[in-house]
Amino acid sequence: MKKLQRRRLIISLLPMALLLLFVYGYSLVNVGTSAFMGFTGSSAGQFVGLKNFELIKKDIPDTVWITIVWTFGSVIPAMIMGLALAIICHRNFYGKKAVVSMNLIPYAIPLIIVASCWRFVYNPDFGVLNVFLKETGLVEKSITFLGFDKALGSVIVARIWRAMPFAFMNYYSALTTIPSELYEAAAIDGASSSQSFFHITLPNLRSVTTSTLLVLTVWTFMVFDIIFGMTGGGPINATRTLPMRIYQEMFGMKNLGTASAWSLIAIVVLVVITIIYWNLIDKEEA
Amino acid sequence: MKKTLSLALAMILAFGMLLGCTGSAFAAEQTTISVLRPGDQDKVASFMEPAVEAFEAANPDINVEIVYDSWAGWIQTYPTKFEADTQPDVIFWWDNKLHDSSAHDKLVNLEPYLSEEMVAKIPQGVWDLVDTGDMDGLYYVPSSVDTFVLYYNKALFEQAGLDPNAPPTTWDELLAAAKAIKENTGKTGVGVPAINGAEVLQEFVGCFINQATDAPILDADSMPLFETEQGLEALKFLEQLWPYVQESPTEYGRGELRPLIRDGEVGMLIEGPWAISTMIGAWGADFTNDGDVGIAELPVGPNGKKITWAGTNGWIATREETAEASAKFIEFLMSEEVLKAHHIAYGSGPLYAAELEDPAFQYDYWKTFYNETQEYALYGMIGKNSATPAAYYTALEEVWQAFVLGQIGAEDALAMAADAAEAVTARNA
Repeated sequence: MKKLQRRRLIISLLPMALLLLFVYGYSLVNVGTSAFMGFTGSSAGQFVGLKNFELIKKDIPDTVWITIVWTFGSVIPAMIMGLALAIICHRNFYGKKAVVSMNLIPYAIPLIIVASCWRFVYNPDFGVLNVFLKETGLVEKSITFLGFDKALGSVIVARIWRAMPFAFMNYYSALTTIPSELYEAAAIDGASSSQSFFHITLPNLRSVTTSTLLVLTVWTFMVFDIIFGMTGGGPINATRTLPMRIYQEMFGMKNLGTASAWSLIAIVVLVVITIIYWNLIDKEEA
Repeated sequence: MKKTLSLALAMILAFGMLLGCTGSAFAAEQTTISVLRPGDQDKVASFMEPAVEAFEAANPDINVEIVYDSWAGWIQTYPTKFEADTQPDVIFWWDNKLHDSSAHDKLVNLEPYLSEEMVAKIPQGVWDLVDTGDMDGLYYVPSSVDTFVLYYNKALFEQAGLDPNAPPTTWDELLAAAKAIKENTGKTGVGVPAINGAEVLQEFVGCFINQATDAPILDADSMPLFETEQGLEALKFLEQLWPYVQESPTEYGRGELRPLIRDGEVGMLIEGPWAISTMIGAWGADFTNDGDVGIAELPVGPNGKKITWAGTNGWIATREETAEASAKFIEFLMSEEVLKAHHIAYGSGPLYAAELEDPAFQYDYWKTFYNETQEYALYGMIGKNSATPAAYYTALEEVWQAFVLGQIGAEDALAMAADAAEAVTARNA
C-alpha cells in the first residue's frame, strides 16, 4: 500500500477510532480507576489500593464458579438443542414454517418478561409446572423450583429456552449453505446418516459454531434480567452471578468502588474465556 | 416612511420588553413547587389532585405540580435525581433514609415553618421512631405509620381445633397455634416472607428481636444491639417456629402470602395494613365479621412488653429556596381531611384519632392498628443513622435466609448477622 493511501485510510478511520475509544476506553478507564478508589466513609474520593478487592475477596471463588456454571450450563445445551432443531427443520415436512416460527418466539420476548413468565411457571402454589405434575400424579407435593438447591438449575432452564432460538437461527441458515452434493456422494459411498452428520454436517458448521458459541457465551455471562427477575440473586447466594454482584454492590451497598472491582473481575474472566476460545480456533485451523 | 417604520418597530420592541419584564416580575411572586408521592398513579391522583386544587385556591401565590412515579421507578432513580438536583421539592420519603448519602445534604429543616399544633398531633412514639438524634431540627414529617399485626384464618383455626375467637396473644400461644394448624390440618402454620431484595425477612426477624430486646436493631452509631441473650432468645423462638412455616419461604414475598391466608392455606401472617385490600376484595370492608380472616394485636414476647415493628413514610422538603411554600403544602397535606383521604386511598392505618370517625375507618381492625401506634413501643426500619441504609438489609438478608432455610442455627445466625451489620458500618467509617 502506498504511503498516501495508508495515510488516507488512517484519517478515514480516525473518527470511528476516536468514537470507540471514547465509548469503550472512557468507561473501561473509569471502571479501572474506580475499583481502586474509596466511595464511602472517610475514604471517599481517595485511592484505597486493593481495599475494595479485600472487601469482596471471600465471595470471589463462589461467584465466579456460579457464573461459569450459569454460562456454560446455559450455552452448551442451548447450542445442542438449537442444532437438533435446525437439523429437524432443515428437512421438509408439513407445518415446517409454523415450527420454525414457534422456535423463534422466545427470542422475541424481552428478558425481564421471560423472567416473569418462568417465575409463574415455577410457582409452587399455582405455577403450571407444579399444577401439571400434581394433577398427573407425578408428584404429591409441589416442587420448590426456586428453592436453594434448585434455583440455579431453574434459571438456567429459562436461559436455555431464551438462548436456544439464536443458536437455532444460526445453524438453520448455515445448514442451507452445505452443498447437497456432499450428502449425495456420501450416500452413494454407503455412508450412514450418523457418518454424514459427523463427517459432513459438523465440519461445515465449525465456523458458525465458533461464532455462535462466542457470542452466546459473552451474552449469557453478562445476563442480568433473568436472574434478577426470577430470584434476585438468591436464595442466599445460590444464583448470585457476577452481574448480580455488581448490581448488589452498586444499588444494595451503594459502593461504586466494590461494584467496579466486581466489574474488573468480570472483564478478566471474560477475557480469559475469549482467549481460550481463540486459541482453540487457531489450533483447529492450524 | 423609513423613519415611521423604525419608530413603530422600536415601540413594538419597547412594549414587548416592558411586557416581558412585567411577566417575569409577576412570575417572581409566584412560587412553583413540585410534589412526588410514589406509588400507583390512580391512587395518588385520587387524593393529591383535589388536595392541590384546594391548596392552590387557598394559596394563589403557590403553584403545585404533581410528579408521578412508581415506588420501583423512584427507588432506582432517586440517587441520580438528587445528584442532578432535579428531585421534586416535596417528596414522600422513608423514615430510615434521612442520612441516605444521596439525599441527606438536600433535606430542609422545616421547624421554622411548621405549626407546633400540627407537630403535636403526631404521637410521640412515632416521633421517637424517626428520631435520628444527630439531626437538629425537623426534616421529616411522618404521615403514614404502618404497624405489624397478626392476621389469622378463623376457619383454619376451627379446623385445627383452636378457638377462632381467641387468637394467640403470646409467643408461646403463637407457636402452639402454628403447631396445631400444621399437625391437625396439614396447612402452613405461619407464613414467612423471605424473598430476595424486598427487605421483608429482615422486618419479620427484626420484629421478634425488637420484642425480645426492647431495643432497636442498630444503635445510633449503626452498631448491632441484638447480640445479647434476649436477641438469642428471639432467634431460638424462631428456630422452633420454622418447621411450621411454608415450604421454601424464600420464594414468597408478602404479596404471595396474602392470597394464601385468605384461601385458608396459611393459618397466620404477621403483616402491616397492606394486606387489608386483599381481604376487603374477598369479603368486603367488614371482612373480620363477614369473612374468614381476623386481625389481632401482635403477640407479645416473654418480657410481656407491647412492642411491634412499624414503618413510617412522611414528607420531606428538598430545597431551601422553596422551603416556606413546601412547608405550607406539607402542613396542608397533614390536615385531617387530606391525610384521611391519603390513608383511605392507600389503605394505611389512621394516624389521628379524628380519622377513626370516618365511615371508612369504622371497623375494629383499624382500631387495632391505631391502638398499636398509640400504646405499643415502635421499632422500625433499620439504618436510619447510616449513609447506606439499604446495605444493612442486603447484608442481613443473606444471613436470615440461611437461618430460615435451616442451614445455620440460632447461635450462628446471631453471630453472623452481627458481623454482617458491623461490616456494613465499617465500610462507611
